[in-house]
Amino acid sequence: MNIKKIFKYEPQHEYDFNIQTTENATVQDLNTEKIDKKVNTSLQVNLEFMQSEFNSLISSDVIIRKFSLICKNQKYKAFLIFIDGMADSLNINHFVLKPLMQRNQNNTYISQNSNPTPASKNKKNLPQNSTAFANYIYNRLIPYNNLSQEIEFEKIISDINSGNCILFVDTLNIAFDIDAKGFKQRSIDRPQIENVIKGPQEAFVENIRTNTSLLRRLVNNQNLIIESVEIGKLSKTKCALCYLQNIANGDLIAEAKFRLNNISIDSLISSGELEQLIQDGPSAGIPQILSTERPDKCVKAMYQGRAIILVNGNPYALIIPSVMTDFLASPEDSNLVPLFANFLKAIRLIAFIITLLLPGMYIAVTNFHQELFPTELLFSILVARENVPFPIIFELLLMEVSFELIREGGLRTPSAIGSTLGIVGALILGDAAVAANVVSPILIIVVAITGLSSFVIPNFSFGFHLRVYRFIFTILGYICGFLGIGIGIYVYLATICSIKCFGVAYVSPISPNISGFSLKYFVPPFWKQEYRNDFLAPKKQVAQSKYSMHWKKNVKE
Amino acid sequence: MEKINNKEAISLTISCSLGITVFISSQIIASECLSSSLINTGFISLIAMGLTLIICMLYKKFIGISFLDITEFVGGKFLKFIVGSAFLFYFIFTLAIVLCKAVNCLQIVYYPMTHPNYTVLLFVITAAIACNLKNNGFLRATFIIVPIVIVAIFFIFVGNLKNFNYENIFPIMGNGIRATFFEGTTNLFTFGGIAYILFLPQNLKRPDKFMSISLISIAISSILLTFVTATIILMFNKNVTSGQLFPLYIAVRYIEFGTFFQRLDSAFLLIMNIAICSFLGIYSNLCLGIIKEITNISDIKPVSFCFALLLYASTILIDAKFELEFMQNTFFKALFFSVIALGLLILIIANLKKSYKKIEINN
Repeated sequence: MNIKKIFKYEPQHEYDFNIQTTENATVQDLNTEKIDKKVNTSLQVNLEFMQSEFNSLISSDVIIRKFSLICKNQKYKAFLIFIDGMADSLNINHFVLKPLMQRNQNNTYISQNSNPTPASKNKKNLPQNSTAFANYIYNRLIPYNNLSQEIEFEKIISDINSGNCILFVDTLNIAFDIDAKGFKQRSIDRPQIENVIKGPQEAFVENIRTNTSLLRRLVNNQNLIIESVEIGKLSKTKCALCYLQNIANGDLIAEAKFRLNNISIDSLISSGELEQLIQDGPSAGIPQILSTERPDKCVKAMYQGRAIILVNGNPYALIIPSVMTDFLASPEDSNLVPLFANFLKAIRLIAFIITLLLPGMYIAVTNFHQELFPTELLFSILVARENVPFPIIFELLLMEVSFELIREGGLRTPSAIGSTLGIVGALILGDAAVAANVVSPILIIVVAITGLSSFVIPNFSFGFHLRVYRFIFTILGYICGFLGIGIGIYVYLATICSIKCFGVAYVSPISPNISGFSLKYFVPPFWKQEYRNDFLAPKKQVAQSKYSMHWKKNVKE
Repeated sequence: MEKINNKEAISLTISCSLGITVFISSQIIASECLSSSLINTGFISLIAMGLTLIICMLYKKFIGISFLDITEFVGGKFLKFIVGSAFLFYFIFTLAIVLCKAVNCLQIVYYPMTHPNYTVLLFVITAAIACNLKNNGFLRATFIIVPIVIVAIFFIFVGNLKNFNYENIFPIMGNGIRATFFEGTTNLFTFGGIAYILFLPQNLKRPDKFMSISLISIAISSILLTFVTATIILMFNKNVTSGQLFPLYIAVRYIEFGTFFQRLDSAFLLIMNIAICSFLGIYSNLCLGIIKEITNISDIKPVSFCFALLLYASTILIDAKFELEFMQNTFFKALFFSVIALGLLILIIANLKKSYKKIEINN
């Protein structure tokens, strides 16, 4: 006997829980979820199947309502299935159960000509009678605008998952798919990231149908095509490919459909995941597809000949194809006078260069090319660095990492504290670092200007890639000065030039410069935008007539 | 390689000449012809235009056909291999000598403690990366870089206007008519773009525009050569032009804009580094294209690393074992004239053979 056990209780076995991992995962794993079954004429078979598929004995939100349906003054067994919280219970009560269960003019009426007797009561004419019975219910008993008849369980289950209500009736080998979606959703709000001062203040929401309606409303043209695609073998996430049929290039649309229809994954939750799945290839972190929360931006893109991809459950749309200049464009540009818009665009271009190169340049100049500084400035830098014991690369990386920490910290903290944290962090940390002779004041200025410039980049993903590449240029500048930076610029430039997005060169329309009427980086006046971008090869090259202001020239079309 | 449009083709051809012009030939022209350098520049520019015109005329019967395929038509696969190898040798030598010169200059100015082999290695790695990029990345980058380099050259010229000593162009004939027009003809090697033009037609989206593309490229290259030579000759005497540094760099040191921009040479160095990388990218891709054609290798990407090693070895070999001045003044010139003569000869024979075959068919 163990003496220790007399004084101390110890359990018999140590608690050790491990998940047994499967060693050989195969591609077939993806295909096991496919349901290849059709609706049976026996209600009991259908009921048992649905109960087992939805685990209705365990899942509390799956509602199966059994009842007796009245048709032609006769009662038939039936059941409804839907998910509580996803479907609108009130609508189901009023427009499904009430007309079917309560005696009324429709379900008690007996016609002279037609005989919609259930199949089981007249076995000889099974197919014809069954169809007539189903049609009678469809046409007269369920007063619902979006109703369909389904025979595949695959589709039925998918629709229940997305909030529909399904009606099964005894003796019928079809089910009625009632679009009774009624889940709670966020209402249309102001854009959170792409704010503008002058321009529409609507942003996409999580619901795909609301988003398509936003597009439809703004496009206001019958040529807008919204094609639905389901992605994810388990999640069956609804996606929509939207484009203007008479403008978008046919090959572009075919390619987009091809890519969307050939994705073999279990689940798709966000547009960011889809972006990775449909982009042309690895791009060393450079974003290839533009994502936006603004419907007006999407509509503008569609009128240029691009396509939009919406993902259900995500308030961001993907614009394909996207080029580099799109990532530096703000939705405000088209709302401003060209002079102001181009001024802002020039500022953004400078910000792009500063964000990418300033720390690297600073380190290269201070270490290798001091002659570039005017003598007075060089002296002040030397005086400022006199008491700093660290090498300049350490100083710079310390401040850059600190800045990234403040930025990340500001994002993760609640919004009320976030901005305060940023200011306090930047001011106090910077001041203290200079006072403690850890860094020089000039370096604080360099890091601050770089940080400010990174905020000027309108696209978050694009700004992020610049933040990462900045560190590479800093190291190159430290190792071999302008030689390293020059090589870095060439490799970066060649890399972005090698990227293609849905067959369009990333640096279009700058290179390849196909013809004279490409819209370049800067925005011409609206009346001068006569042609669509030729790199998109739209069906209609001309966007507006040469004299768009007819009132001015007195020109008649 | 994807087909390229007219503007891209022009930028590529200019870039091929630009590397040689900036780093090698402008200095040689200035030191050999002295005050008659500008006349020599004009003279060789005219010859270059004429030569280009002849090549374009000879290509008229072979629109859009690769030069090596024409060679095969003339003398079979063996000749194709020999000619391909000769051009390959010329292009690798051009790369190596330009790289050698640039690296030597960098070492003197900024990196005296660094062995040039490390600097060469950096450039060679860049060339290997450029070769492995998809979708003509190097080509589109060149299209963006070339205008920047042209602006920089123009800027150096304009920035130094006040430093020009116009007496330097006298006596107008420099070392005499013989040195300017006969011996000076050898300076034609500055137009490395002519050798590149031979390999251009098969890559063009519109091969029918081959003549205009070639002539425009050579004309722009001539203007740039004139600017570079004029800057050097109007600013410096013979001692500077025959030194180890490339004189254009020294010219930049004289530019001053007020009290803030006192020394812009390192900014020029940055642009020139990018230009060298672009030059390396173009020539490396061209060499890989030739290797692919003469060996029928389906995937050329793995060869790019071997090519990078070969380039590295060639550059450090020239740097370590040979007198750079001799290589660039004598061997490089001879090599250029040999390959151009070879190219012309093949095109002429191909034209004759085609005409002969046509007559035979008609008979």
